Amino acid sequence: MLRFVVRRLFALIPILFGVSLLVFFWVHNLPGGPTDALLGERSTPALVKQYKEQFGLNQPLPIQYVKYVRSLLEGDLGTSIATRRSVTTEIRTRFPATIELALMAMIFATAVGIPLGFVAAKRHGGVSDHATLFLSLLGVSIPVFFLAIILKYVFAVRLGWLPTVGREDILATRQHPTNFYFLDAIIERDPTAWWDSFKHLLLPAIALGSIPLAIITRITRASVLDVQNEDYVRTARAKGLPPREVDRRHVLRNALLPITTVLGLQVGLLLSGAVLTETVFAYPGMGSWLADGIGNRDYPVLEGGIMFLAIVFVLVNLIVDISYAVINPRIRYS
Amino acid sequence: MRGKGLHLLIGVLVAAVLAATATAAVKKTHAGGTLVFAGAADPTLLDPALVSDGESFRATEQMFETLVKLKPGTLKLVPDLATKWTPSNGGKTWTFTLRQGVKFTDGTAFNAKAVCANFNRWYNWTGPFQDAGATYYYQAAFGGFKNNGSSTLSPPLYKSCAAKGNSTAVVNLNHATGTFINWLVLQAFAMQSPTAMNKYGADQGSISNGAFKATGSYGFSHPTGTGPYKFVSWTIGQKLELAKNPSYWGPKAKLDRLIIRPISANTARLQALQTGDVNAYDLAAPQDVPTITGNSNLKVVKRPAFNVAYVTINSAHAPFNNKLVRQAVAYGLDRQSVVKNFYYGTGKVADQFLPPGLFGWTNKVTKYTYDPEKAKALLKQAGLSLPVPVEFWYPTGVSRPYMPDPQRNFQAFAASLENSGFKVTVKSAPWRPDYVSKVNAGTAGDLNLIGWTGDFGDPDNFVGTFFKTFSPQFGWKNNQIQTLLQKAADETNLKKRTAMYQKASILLSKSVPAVPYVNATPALGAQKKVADLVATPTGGVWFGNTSVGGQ
Amino acid sequence: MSIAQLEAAEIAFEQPTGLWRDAMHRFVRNPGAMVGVFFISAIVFCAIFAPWLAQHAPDQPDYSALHNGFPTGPSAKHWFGVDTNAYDEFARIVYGARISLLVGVVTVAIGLSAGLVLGSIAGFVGGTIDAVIMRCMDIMLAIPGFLFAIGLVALLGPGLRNVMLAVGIVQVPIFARLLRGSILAQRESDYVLAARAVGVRSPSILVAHVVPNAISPVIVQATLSMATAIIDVAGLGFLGLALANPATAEWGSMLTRANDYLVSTPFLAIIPGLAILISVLGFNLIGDGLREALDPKLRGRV
Repeated sequence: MLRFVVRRLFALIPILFGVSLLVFFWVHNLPGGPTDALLGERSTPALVKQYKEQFGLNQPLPIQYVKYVRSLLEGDLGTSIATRRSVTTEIRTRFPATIELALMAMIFATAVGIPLGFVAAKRHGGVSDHATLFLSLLGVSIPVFFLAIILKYVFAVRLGWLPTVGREDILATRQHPTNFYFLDAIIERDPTAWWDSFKHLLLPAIALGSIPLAIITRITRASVLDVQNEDYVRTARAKGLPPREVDRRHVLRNALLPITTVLGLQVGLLLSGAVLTETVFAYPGMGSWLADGIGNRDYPVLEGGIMFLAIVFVLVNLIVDISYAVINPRIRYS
Repeated sequence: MRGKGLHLLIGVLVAAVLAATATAAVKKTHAGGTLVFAGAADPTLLDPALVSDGESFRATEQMFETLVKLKPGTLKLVPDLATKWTPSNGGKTWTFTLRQGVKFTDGTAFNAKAVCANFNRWYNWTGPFQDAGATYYYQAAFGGFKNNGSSTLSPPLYKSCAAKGNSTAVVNLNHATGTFINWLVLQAFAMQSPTAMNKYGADQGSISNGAFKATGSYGFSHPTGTGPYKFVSWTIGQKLELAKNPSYWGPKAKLDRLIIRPISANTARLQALQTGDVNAYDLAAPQDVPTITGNSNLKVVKRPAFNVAYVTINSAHAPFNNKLVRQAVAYGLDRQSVVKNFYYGTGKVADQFLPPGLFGWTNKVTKYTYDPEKAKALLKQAGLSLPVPVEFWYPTGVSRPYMPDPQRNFQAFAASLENSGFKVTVKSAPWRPDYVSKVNAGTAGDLNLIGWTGDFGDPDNFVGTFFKTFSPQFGWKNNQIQTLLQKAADETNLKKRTAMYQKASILLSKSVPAVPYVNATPALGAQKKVADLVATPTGGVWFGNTSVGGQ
Repeated sequence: MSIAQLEAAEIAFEQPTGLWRDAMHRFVRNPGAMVGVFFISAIVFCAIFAPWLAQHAPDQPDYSALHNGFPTGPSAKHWFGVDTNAYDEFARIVYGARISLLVGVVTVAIGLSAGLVLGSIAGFVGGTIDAVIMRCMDIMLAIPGFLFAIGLVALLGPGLRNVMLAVGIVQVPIFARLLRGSILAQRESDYVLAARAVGVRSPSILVAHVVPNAISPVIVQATLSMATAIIDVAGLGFLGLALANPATAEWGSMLTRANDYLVSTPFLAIIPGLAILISVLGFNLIGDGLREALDPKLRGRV
């Protein structure tokens, strides 16, 4: 087991190295610069020239790359041009926000998707099965930002049930030691804070979770269908176990295995979807930060942010792979 | 049965959602004397000397004051921290009589020593602080520093400052200029507490990845000024909270709490206003103005027009070096319909570069109404055969206060030019990364769409910036007008300056280096119960007298 | 010919057609798949016959339809009304179908062709080449797809061509991985071993046996990728990266513009959104139907 983990960790290094190279090459070939974004109509040719000089593009590329990697290893991901703050500081507040949103979206997706998929499998071929399939396809087909706009318009603007923007009530003066508002509310034992955080998370989580919901529903359904026809299930039934027991002890447990494999894929989708969803709800997470960075041509933000997300993505996939290997010993020896 | 479990789960979920929404639907009013305002972006730093974006200035202008200011909502220069100011020595020396009994919010006395400390702070900056991004306005007004680290910096305008007693500060300049006093209304030249700046490292900064970064905590958590509000807290990216300054020297602020939050999407800001999540917001998109006025709980607050949109003509490209051809362009642009159709009632046709209300504006300029036949006649008179080819550029992916929808303006202008003896080649470039650079460098065709919002109430900021010296954007030379503008910038007598700028405006309208077409009135949205919210022409908001009714 | 060779020829003959005919049979009986086919046919129809279907050109403004600068809703003259630039909305939707289909086809073509080459080489040759190619694919996959596309478009500049290239490149690792896995699986499967044992040559194994079986998941992925491509391009349009010339009728960018006018003229947002939804749903339904039809586990259990 340990050998497996170590082997995978070693495999990570060239990948991360490759990603840093890719990101570096990318930033150094981006057209124009942030000068127009910063100065707008006030830019003059002299100022633009001064800015361009400042960005240190005189040194040979390999040296620049080494400097870049060194600063990466020190944890310095650059400084945002629009806000003049270090990218690491920004990530420290923005990333927990997106994690909360992503977790909420996943909880929504699994809490609704697994039972839905299960029921659809049980009623295979029937109307509810086809309906579930259709709905799950709908979930994958609707653009996330479109769904977000509609949800926001209907529930927040028209009906006024939920807040339109932000992470918490603007008037609240709460301390946030962990930057995870949900967790902080639990730590502080503050039910109002908890409701507040929940209300702000609900709509974005539903919009963001629509895609994982669809995928989890289908995979659960397919998986349950597969497992149901396995020999050991048939044996259990033949033995005389009540159907409910069969489901609980054998079908469910084994059907849930494949879902873990797609978790890695979900993280990528969640991160991409977050960029669009958070903008619609003005939710202060990584997504809206990157979207603003794109609009401002704030290259350090894009460079640092994407590098950070790539690292997270790779690590999450590693954890998922390891946990799958733990569950399914056959993988370890492949 | 599994089915029961499923139903139970669904029931729990629905109940949870209903419960959440039930508590939410209760009320959306804010606790007494609090106003929540939404801007489009977060401030970058709260040290006004080191920023140049409107979002930061909106925050700092509640906490900091300058020696002189523009009366809120107007372009009239009035006293602020200085009660009197007198030029002497041909305009090279300015003597300020300071207001007495004023204190910074940390208790430090505001006096002549503090004034000189501020001026000298700016003058003595070195290293990273000389970065154009860090001290844009200082450099635009004063040129260089005591020790210029780079040859691109000009010689400094400022020479020295002397404190005569507590209430008189004398500022010496290296040459005379009439614009100096008008520059001082900018927040970049606000008076900050020397004690606080020293204590919290206001002069600590570095260049990181080519961008200036303040490393002291002053600009993040200890901005200290003399204004009607004082700093409480700033959660970066989320909200900035200010509170009433109880020891303010003037009429005290009515609000107990002022909260400024960033919401970047136009629609999201509007929706936040509609639902009561904010009490007011800035940068209302023109197409949303009818929605706001149509809502019985909301109102539009207008910002006096202080911008101008114009069509650049590149005189370096023949045949546009011929005045007749430029005048033909002016006759060939249907400015009236563009303003009527695309500004939702928020724009007025502009016949000159100075906005109405700014001294130097005059009704005596030559006005060009859309006249395709006249345009064709002028082109023939210039000896050209029709149609005259012209390359016309516009920016994509942007909305400016003076030009909310560049593409629509462009299409209408191109169509009217085609009717007037021109053949238009359509060109466009995205605003970011480099439309403005192209325009400034003169590489954006023969004609292009651009505009300008004024920084402060001086005509030099408009026509001086464009035409005082040769610029590749216009490729235009006219000794008479250029000399006149330079003289007007150096003249310190207001009456004389006004006359000079009026004359310049008339001459410009005859020579037509560019064709101005609109002064737009940007709008803010607010709840009807918000009283006395003042939008300043230069893009700021004055909360000094604002209150929220029903609290 | 020896009996073994005859048998090999028979296997080669039976496998492919049996698979396809079976799949087709199941496909047409799938209601969801048929709905998908209907949707996509409608889109294709609009795309081909756009000039005849639309009464106006999609980029000719009709200012008389603007009221004080605001677009008026649907009317007899303009079936879907006009958008904020006074272009006919119905024409833009119908012409937009061309772009969406083009986007779907081109990006998948890019991803598929490059992925096919890389994946086949990696899968069939194996060894160091396989490892190198797969490492590169891993690096590309390390960055979430949409973000990668954003990065590429930022690099290349906005414009439909660059957007298609970016989204296409993002698809390459997916197809490469898929094909390689498929080929690997097939390589070790019984019938290939049998054919080899009998003496059928490698290239003909590849063509006659491996590729037809390996290709079914690819077909499924291709249809699904078309759906993803349309959504990704719409997302890029939402962020303002898609079009250099705003007069082009592309559904995603139309949705973006409409978002700014959401409160004053909401119908401008709903129509392109629905168009995107229908086309994406159509491709997904077809892809899904194909997957069910071609699934070997379901074979023999109809």
